[in-house]
Amino acid sequence: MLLVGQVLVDVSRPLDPDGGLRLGGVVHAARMAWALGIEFSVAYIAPSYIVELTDRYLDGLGCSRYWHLGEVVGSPNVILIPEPTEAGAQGYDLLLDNDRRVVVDKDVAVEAFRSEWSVALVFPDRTDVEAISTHLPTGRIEDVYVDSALSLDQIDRFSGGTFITSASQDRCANGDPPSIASAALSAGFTAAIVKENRGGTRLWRGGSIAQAGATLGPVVHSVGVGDAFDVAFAAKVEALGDQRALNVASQLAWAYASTTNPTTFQRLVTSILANPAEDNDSGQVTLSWEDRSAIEIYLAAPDFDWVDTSLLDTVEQALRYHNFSPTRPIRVNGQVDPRRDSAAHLRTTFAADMELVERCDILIAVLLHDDPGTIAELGWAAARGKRVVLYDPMHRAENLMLTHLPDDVVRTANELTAAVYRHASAL
Amino acid sequence: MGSSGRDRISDYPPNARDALPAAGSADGPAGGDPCAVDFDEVELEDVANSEYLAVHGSLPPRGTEVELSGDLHGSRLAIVTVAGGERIGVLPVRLNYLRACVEHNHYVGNVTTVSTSQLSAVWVHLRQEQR
Repeated sequence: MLLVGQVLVDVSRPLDPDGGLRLGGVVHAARMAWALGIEFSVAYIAPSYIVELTDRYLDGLGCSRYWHLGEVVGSPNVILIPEPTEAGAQGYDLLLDNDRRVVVDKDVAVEAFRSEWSVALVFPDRTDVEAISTHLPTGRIEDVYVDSALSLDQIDRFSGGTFITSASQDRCANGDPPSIASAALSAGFTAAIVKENRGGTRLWRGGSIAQAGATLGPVVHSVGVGDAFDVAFAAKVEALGDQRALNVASQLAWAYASTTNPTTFQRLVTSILANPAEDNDSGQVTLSWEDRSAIEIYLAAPDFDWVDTSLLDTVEQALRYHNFSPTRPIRVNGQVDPRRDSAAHLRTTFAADMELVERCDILIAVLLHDDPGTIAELGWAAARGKRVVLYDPMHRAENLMLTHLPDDVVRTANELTAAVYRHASAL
Repeated sequence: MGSSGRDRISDYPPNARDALPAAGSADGPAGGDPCAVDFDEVELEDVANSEYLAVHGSLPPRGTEVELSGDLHGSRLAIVTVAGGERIGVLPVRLNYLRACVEHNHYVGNVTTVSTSQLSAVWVHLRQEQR
C-alpha cells in the first residue's frame, strides 16, 4: 500500500499545558498500516524541519520505503486543534495556511511512483492536488482511494477509484451524503464513502449501499481517525467485502481514537481483528447525517438574558456541528417577566414551552445552576417517557431526583455528544 | 516564563495521566488506554433473565466474586460468578467496547449491592488486571 500526503504537526489543546505535539497528516494513516501489520510505503510532503523526525518515525513503524516528495514553504505545517475529541467542532487552525504552498521534487516523484502499487491511498489538499495528480500514475494502480475535502472537479484525475470524504456542515452545504455519493459516482468514481463521525459510515458502490455504525467507547482524540479508517478499509475490503470491511474498519478507527499510545493501539487492533463485533452490534451507533436534524432535541436551561449562557451556547454549537437541530425554547417562544407580563401572556408562553417539551425526542438539561425551570422540565420529560440527559459539568447534581431521573448524567462535552448519538440512534 | 511542556513531538502528552478518559479510576500507560480502568459500581442489565437467578431462585449475595466472561451473551458482555461461571447479568451497552480489551485484560470483582425491592438489580465492582 502506498500512502501519499502531507505531514503535519498536530498541536492538541494549544492553551492547555497537558496538550501535546504529534506527527499528523499522512502519519495517521501510517500508524494504522503499521498496527495492521501490512506492508506500506509513504510518499510525503513536509517542511524540511520535520523531515528527519518523520523519516525516523516511519522507520520505527516499519515503513518499507519512504520519499520526501516535496517541500512545504510559507508555513510550518502546524495545525492547532482546540477540541481534539470532536465533541463539537474541532477548530482546526492550520498556521499560515494562506501562504502555504508546495514544491514537489519531480525526480523524487518519478522515483516514488515508478513502482507498481496494488493500492494507493491519497490525501490531497489544494496545495498539492495538482502535483500529485500530475505525477501519480493512477492508471498503473489497481485500487486508488482519494480522501479529500476538495470538490470533485479538483480531484477528477483520481476518478476510477474510490472517493472518500467526511460529512460536515461545509461538505454537506450543497447536498447530503447520498447526494455527494451520487455526484461522485456520476463523476466516474467506482465507489464513494462518506464518514459520518459518531454516526457511522456509508459506502455507495453500483446500486448498493453498505452502512456500518461507529463504536461507542472512550475517545481521547478524534484527530486522524478518518485517515486511519481509510487504511483499515482499503486493507480489508478485498478479503471481507464492503459491509464487513466497513464494520471492521469502524471498530479499528475507534481503537485509534481511544489512545495516542502506539503499543496500546496495536494491541487493540490485534484484539479487534481476532474477534470483531458483528454487524449491528448493540455497541455501535448508526445515525445517518441527514436523519439527525429531524430529531427534536429540547435544551432545558436557564437561558435568560441575565445569565452567562456561554456553556449552553457551546452545547448548541456542538450539536449543530453534528447536524442536530436543538431547540432553545426562549429563542422560540420568548422570555417572560413574571412581574410585568400579563397572566394571559404567561399562560400562553407556558403552554407553548410545554408543547415543545411534549414534542421532543430528547431533553438535555444543562445544569448551569439550580434553576427550578430546568429541573421541572427534566422531571416532566422523564415522567412523559422522554429520553433525558443531564449535562452537569460543574458536578452540581447530588439530589437523587437529579441523579436518577435522567437516562444519563454526563459531565464532559465528549460524554454529552456520545450520549446524544446513543439516544438519537435508538429512537 | 515557564515551559508549556510541549518541547518535543511525541505520541505521549506531557501529563499523560490527565489525558486518560474518565471511565472510572484511570491509571495506565501514557497516551491513554481504554482498557486500563476499574469500574466502581456498574449496574448490570438483564438480571431478571439471568442464568444465576434461574438456577438459584435468588440473586447473588453481596460479596460474590465475579468476572467478565470471555463469551458473549448475544452481543453483550456477560458478568459471571467466579465459582460457578453462572451469568448474573450483562454490562450496559456503553461498555461493549471492552470486547476489544478482554484478550489482554481480565476484569474481576464482586457484587456490591443487590436490590429486589422494585425490580431485580445487581451492582458490581470490577477491577482490571492484565493477563
